[in-house]
Amino acid sequence: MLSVKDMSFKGKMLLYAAATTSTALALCCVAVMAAQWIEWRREVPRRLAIQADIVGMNASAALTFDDQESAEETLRGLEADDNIVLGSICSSDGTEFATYRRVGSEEVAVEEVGPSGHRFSRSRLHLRRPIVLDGAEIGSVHLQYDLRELYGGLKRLAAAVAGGMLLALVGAALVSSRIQRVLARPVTDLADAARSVAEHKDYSVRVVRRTGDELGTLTDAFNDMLSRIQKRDTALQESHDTLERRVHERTVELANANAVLKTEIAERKQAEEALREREQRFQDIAENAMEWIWEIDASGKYTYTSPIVEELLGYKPEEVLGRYFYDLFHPDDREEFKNAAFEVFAQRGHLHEFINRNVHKNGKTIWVSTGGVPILDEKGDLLGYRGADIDVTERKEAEAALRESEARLRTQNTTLVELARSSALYKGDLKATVMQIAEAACYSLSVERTSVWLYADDRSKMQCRDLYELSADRHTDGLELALADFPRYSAALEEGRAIAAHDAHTDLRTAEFSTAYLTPLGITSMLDAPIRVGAEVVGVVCHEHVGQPRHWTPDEEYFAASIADLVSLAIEASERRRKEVELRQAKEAAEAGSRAKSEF
Amino acid sequence: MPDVLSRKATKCSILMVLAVSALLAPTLPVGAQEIDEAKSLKVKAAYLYNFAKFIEWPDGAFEDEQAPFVVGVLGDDPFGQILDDTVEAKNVAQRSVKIQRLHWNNKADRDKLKNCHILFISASERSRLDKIFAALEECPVLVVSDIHDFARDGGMIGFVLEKGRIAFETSREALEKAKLKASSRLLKLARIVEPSKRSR
Repeated sequence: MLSVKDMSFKGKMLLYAAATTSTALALCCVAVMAAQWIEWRREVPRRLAIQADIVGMNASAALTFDDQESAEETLRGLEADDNIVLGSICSSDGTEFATYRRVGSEEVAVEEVGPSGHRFSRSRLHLRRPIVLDGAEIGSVHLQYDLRELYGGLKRLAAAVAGGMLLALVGAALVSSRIQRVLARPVTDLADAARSVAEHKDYSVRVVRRTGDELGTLTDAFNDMLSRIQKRDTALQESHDTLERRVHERTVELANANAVLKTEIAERKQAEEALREREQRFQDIAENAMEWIWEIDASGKYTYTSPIVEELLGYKPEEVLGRYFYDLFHPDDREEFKNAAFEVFAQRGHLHEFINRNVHKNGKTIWVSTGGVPILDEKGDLLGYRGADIDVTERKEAEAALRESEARLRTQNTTLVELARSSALYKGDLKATVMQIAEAACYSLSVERTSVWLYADDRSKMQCRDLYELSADRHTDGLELALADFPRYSAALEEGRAIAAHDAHTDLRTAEFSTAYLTPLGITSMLDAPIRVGAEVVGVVCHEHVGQPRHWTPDEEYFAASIADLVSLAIEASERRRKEVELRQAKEAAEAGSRAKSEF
Repeated sequence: MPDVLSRKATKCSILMVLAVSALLAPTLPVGAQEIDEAKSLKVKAAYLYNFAKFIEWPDGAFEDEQAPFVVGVLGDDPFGQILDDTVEAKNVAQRSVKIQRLHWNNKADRDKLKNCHILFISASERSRLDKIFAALEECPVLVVSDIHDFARDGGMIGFVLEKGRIAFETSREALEKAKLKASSRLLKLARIVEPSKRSR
C-alpha cells in the first residue's frame, strides 16, 4: 500500500483537498441530516397534534351530544392525509366513540402513548390529544400516523445530500486538481531539477521562477545554491586537477627523495657501523689504556670515566661519576688547583701536562698529569672537558728522590768542601782531621756510627783511629780488628771502591761481622769505603746504620768514598805536612772539582 | 398459590352475577323503562348544560362577569335532582350555573323568564307556547323543549328521539331572532328545521 508519506506532492495536495472537502461536506451532511431529523421529530407530532386538535374541536359537539355519525363524518376528513392510519375519538372514559381507519388498515388498534402525548414506534407515530370544551376535557382524539412516507422522504433527502456531496467532491476534485497543478508546478519543477542534479551532477540546471510566494523564494534560493555549487564545483575541479598535478610532481619528488633517502640510509648505516667501530675502538682503548680517560661537564662533574680510575685512584667508576674533579685533589692543593683549572676553562683553553696531586681512596697521594680539551657546542658554549690523566707519581717520587739526592749531594758537597778546608788538615793534624771527618760524615749520612780504621804496619790488623757515635756525640778510639778473622771483608776492601751493605747481616762481605759485631750494636747496614794511599788500601772508613736496614744510594757511596779519600789525604798531608801545603791545597781544589764531577 | 386465588375469584364473580340477575330479573321490563327514562333525562339535562358551550349570548345577557348562568325550567320540572346533579359544581364560561324553576302562573316567574339564559319549557306548557315566545321575543334566551315539533313551532332547540338516541332540531331563525349565535358544530349535529306557519 502506498504510504501517504511517499505520495507525490500532487497526490498529497489532491488528497488534502479531498480529505478537507469530504470532511467538511460530511460534517455538513451530518449536521443537516441531524437537524432535519430533530426538526422532523418535533414537527411531525406538532402538526399531527394540530390536526388532532382540529378534529377534536370539530367533533366536540358530536361527542358532547353523542352524535356518532357526525363524529365519524368529522373523522373522515382525515382521509385527506393518507399517512393517517387511524383516527379515533374517545370519550372521557377512554372508550372509542368514533374511529376512522385508513383503507387497508382495518386491524389497527388504538395504542397507548405515554405521558408526553405521543410515541414513536417503528413506523408509526401514535398521538393522543384531549378534546377540551370550555376548559373541561370531554374526551380525546387518537391519531396513528404512518411514518414510512416521511422516512422515505428522509432517505431521499439523505440520498440527495449524499449525491450533492459526491458532486461537490467531484467538483472540488476537479477544481483542486486544476489549482494544485498550478500550485504544485513550482514544487515539481524543483523536485525534477533536484533529481536531475543528483543523477547527472549537472549544476547548470536552473528552475524558472513562476510565483512570487515562498516557493518563488525557494526557487530563487535553489538557483542561487546551484550557481554557487557550480562555481565551487568548477573551482573544486580545478583545484582537484592542480592537486593531482602536484601530487604527481610530489610523488616523483618523493620517489627521488626516497631513492636519495635509501642511499643516505645505506651511507648512514655505514657511518653507524664506522661509528660503532670507533666507539668500540675508543672503548677498547679507553678501558685498556693506562691513561685514565674522562669527561666532565661545565661545572666540573665527571660524566664519563674509564675503568682504569679504580686502579689509579681506588674509586670505582660509579663512585667517580657525578663527583667534582676537584674533590679528588689533595686537600692542601684543592683550592689552588681548582682555581687554576677553572681559569683554563674560562679561556676554553687546553689542559696540557697539568700536574695535580690527588688522593687515592686508601689515602695515598697520587700525582697525575692531566691533559684535556674543551667540549663546545655549535654556538661555542662550553659543555665540558674531556681528556686523559697519566699517573706520574713515580716520576714525581723520582723527582722528589732526585731533589733529595741533590740536596744530599749539596750537603755532602758542603761537608766535603768544609772538611777539605779544614785547618787541621792543612796543619797535618791527622787525629783532629779524622775526628772532624768522622763527625761530619756521621751527620751528613745520618748514620749512627762512623769510624776510621787504619791498617797496622804489618797489615794484620786494623786500628780504629776514631769512632764517632752520633746520638752520644762521643769520640772513641783504640779498637782493633784482626783482618785474618774477616777474610772476605778484607778481600772486598781490596777490590771495589766501597762496600755498600744494605743488609749487613746477609751481605757476604759483611756477614762475618754479624754475630760478634753487628748484632750487639744493632747495626743493620754498613757503608765501608777503603782508604787508599797511592795504590794501597791503608784503611777503611766505616759508616754503620742502626735501626731499620737502610738502602745506600749511589751518591752516599760516592760520598763515603770521598770521605775515605779525605782521610787518605789527611794521612798524606800529615806525612807531608809542611812540604806539600800548596800541593795539598791545589790537590784539594782539583779533587774537589773532580769529585764534584765524579759525584755527578 | 396464584392458581388457587384465581379459582376463588372466578367462583365469586359467578356467584355475584347470579345474585344480580336474580335481583334484577323481576324488575327488568319495568326497570328498563324506568332506566330509560332516567337516562334520557340525564342526557337531556346534560345537553341542556352543554348547549351553553356552543352558543354565544350577546353582551347584554349578563350583568357582569360574575353573573351566573341561569338555567330555567318552566312548568313541571321533569328533571328533578338530575338537573341539579348535572350542573353541580360546573361552570359555563367560568360562570356558575344557577337553576331556576319557574311557573307561568307566577307573575314574578314570568318576569324572571327573561333573566334565564337557557329555558327548558316543560311539556306541561304546550298550550302556552305562543305566549311564552311572545314574552321572550327578541330576548337572548335559548328555549329548549322536548315538546313535539318545538323547533317548527318557534322554539329554538327541540329534543327528538332518533334511532334510540336523543337528537335535536333547531330553528336558525329563532336563534337569530334571539340574537344567539350557535356554533356550526352544534348546528351540524342538529336537524335544521324551518318554522312552520301553522298553529299560532
